[in-house]
Amino acid sequence: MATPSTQATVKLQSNDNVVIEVERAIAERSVLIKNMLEDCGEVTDAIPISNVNESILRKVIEWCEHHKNDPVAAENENDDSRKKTTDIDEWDQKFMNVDQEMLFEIILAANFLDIKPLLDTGCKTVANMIKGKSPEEIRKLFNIQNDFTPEEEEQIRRENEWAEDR
Amino acid sequence: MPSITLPPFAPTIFFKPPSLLKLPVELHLIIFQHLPTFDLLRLSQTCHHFRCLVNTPYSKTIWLKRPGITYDFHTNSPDQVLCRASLRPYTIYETLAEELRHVLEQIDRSIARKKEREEMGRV
Repeated sequence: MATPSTQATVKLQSNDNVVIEVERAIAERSVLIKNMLEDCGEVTDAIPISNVNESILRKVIEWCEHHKNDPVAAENENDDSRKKTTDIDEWDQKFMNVDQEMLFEIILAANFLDIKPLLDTGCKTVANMIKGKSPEEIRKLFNIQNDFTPEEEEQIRRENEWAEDR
Repeated sequence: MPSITLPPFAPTIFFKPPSLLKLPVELHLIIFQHLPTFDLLRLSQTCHHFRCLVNTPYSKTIWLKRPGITYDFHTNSPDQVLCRASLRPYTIYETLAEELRHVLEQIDRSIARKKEREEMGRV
């Protein structure tokens, strides 16, 4: 097993080959990077983040910098506690106020890098965008193709009749 | 003779906003967990993908965590066992009752706190 490293910074390389140097504590908000550093000890080379481009990586680092002092959730903590609320803190709301493409990229990057609180914030943001909208409004908002046949649409309408206007 | 001017090339007509559907299924399930029941139902009415996903065993845990929701398994075709979240009309009242209980509890707590403060003030 490698000895624990004391290096202060790590280099991350985006998939468009841009190397960004960040404080180790910030990079370790990512469980993927944290585990990698624990396993490898001192890493002088840039760590390739193959699924994330520079702009998204910078955005994710910005989030990690802001949240670097947040308590890390316990590994086996009941998932319910983090899923009950859809409240998003004000800074995070501003952070997530980006176009849909970037929002989805941030969510994908958070999933890849295993940053659960960022993933949750992203998913909550999408959930909040869906809330209170009709199926047609949701389709328009997210460019979802209506692939139901008229018969299926009629069946769905009948099934959900009781739940309309709720 | 009037010249014919072609409309300028407008790339926007070819631009399609990114779709929520490009996210992988496991992330859709996380989004489901943050959606209230009726919003989840409305999302399931947008396309086949969400309709199937909301009604698959993957979503079972999401439905089961909601108050007043029962979950039925039934065979839809000989080779495919489908399960559907069964939201019977009366479940809306159970769901609302649960929410109302929650609100009443909060009100009770704030009244108790107010009384406590008033009593402290008198002392």
